[in-house]
Amino acid sequence: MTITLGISCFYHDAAAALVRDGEIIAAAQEERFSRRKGDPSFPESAINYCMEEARVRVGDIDTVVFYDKPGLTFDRIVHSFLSVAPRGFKAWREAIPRWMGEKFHTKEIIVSGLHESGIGGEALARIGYGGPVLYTPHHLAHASAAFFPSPFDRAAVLTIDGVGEWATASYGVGKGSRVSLSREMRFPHSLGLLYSAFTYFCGFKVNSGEYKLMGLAPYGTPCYVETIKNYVAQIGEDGAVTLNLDYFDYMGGLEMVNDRFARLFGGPRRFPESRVTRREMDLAASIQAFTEEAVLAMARHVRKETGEKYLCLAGGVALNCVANGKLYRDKLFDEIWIQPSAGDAGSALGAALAVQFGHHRVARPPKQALDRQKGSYLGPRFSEREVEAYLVAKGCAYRKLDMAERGDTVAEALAQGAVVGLFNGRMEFGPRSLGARSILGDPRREDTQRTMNLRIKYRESFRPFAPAVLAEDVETYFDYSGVSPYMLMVAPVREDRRKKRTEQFIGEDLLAAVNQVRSDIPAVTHWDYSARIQTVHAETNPLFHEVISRFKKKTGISVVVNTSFNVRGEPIVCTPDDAYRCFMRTDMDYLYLEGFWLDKREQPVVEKDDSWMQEFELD
Amino acid sequence: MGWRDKIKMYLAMARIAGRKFLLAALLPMVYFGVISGYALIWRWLLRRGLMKSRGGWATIAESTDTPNLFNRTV
Repeated sequence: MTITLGISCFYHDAAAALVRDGEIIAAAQEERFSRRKGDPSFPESAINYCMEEARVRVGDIDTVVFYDKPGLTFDRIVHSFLSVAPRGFKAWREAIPRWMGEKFHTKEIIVSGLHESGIGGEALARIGYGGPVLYTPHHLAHASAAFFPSPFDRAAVLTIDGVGEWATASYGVGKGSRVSLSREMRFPHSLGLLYSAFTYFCGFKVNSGEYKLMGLAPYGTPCYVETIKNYVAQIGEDGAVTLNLDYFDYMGGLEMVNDRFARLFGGPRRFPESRVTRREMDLAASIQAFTEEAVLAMARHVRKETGEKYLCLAGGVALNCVANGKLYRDKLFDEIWIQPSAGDAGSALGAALAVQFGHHRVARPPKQALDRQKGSYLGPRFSEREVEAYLVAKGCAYRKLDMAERGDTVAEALAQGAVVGLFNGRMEFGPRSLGARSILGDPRREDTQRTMNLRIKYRESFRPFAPAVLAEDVETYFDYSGVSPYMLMVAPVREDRRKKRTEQFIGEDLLAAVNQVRSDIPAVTHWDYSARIQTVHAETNPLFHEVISRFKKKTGISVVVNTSFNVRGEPIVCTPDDAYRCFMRTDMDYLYLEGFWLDKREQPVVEKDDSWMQEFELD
Repeated sequence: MGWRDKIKMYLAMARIAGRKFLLAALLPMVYFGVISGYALIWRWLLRRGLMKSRGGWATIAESTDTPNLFNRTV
């Protein structure tokens, strides 16, 4: 038996993953335990959970692997300063102490727990981890996370992110138990950093606000594309991106872009949380169009160079599901598989898999239902006994549901227009809620999007919701015939389901646009008639599949709104306590908690207290 | 807290303060003395530097079965 623990941390979104004999046993992001969004710190709790799930002790672990080569990353940082010095001192003053404090001591932190006490650090030394600490190249970890859990025996692999060591994108081929990369694009030329620069300029947070920019794009017109191409960045025929660094500040500054960039796009960046104007909408549309063009050009190049029929994608840019949808519709590849935790958290998993198959020479296990990712339900689960004990201790009013009535109870509430929190089985690994920690709603109601955004999620009204649809019915609603179990594909709503918009949206009133009915499932139809699809499969999430099937029987519609179980700025809920607190703080009507049914009206009265809103930093 | 612990605490505080002071003094010295000097030579005389680079696909040969790949930090 060979056990490998993969770790990613110190930059953003720390995570741990445990792989045994090539099989993914557990994986989780640290933020879910620490309740700090994108938590970069050493993932003690995630490691603790992974070992608990696998029922192993530290001494049983054969190898621990870190997802990055710190020496190479430091080399890149020094070269960045060499390229801008004597400018850049402020960034130098911030970066170097961090390196001296932890990043140079990755191995020591991992082994002896110098960083913080706890199972991952101190316990590794105390309980007796005697194995090696290994390092994977950052993009090889991404590539491994993309290929090894995929259903393919061989495929082209493309990774695109901000930056990892020197690489900003790479491609190669995965075959059986081996992934090899043959080409890479290097810092500072990066499609991911370019997208992040626009995210920053539009007033959203880098490394978390990118998906907001993507959601904003359909409201704008891509009128800045030519400006971007003429001044800021070019795309080669092979998809290679060249940035004009005169417009950026990330090499040695503390910000992503400089004044010249601001002058080019009509003034200073949008102040975070201020009103979104037409400029931001148009910028979002423009950088989205540019990104799609670059991703398609890269994919075309990869297809030509590798000759492979299938494609695996990972890296932060692979979370751009609009670009993924275009890639799918372009039919460059017969099938595409995207790692659901495509960002750096997924690299913990990729690193562990790379070491299992490359270092330990373990045979790759056969695929299960859809792939080898287990529906990405790789996080903690709580037994009914644990949940009931919690509910009793908390004094909650609840009703235990029989197995046979569970799906129907949730579906009936949804059909009545209620908003239901669904806490069911193992937590998802990755940024999307896939029916284990989800908030569900009725997609037919015109006010669902507004209600759920403003009264439940406390987030920007323009942000769209995703449809979870029975896999067998996907073609009934969307121009899409594949599977999309991880909500990573955007596809158009079928023409015959669309409703003509009453007015062309040309102003800046996003709320007026949001309120317009665009199809018979308006809550999940974006302004441009697109939808971010999750196909729900009975094999990977039987309860969620049953809920939608019952909903279909009641309403004739086999789609529900599925959004993450959290409020803005909060990591997705992990434990029953997280879920109950989120339920009580928001306007959710019901909570399904691992076989127990909670009605908001019956819960003990709590004093109205909005102080929790300060608990989570806005994303 | 006994006097031994107090001494230990003050020593630890002095060590932290000393390290902070050294770092605060050292960082500008290294940056403006070494990095900037070398950078000017590197960029202007040797005509190197990332600001003048172009994007493109560089050839690499990195594979999960490359011997010793995982043992190195570079």
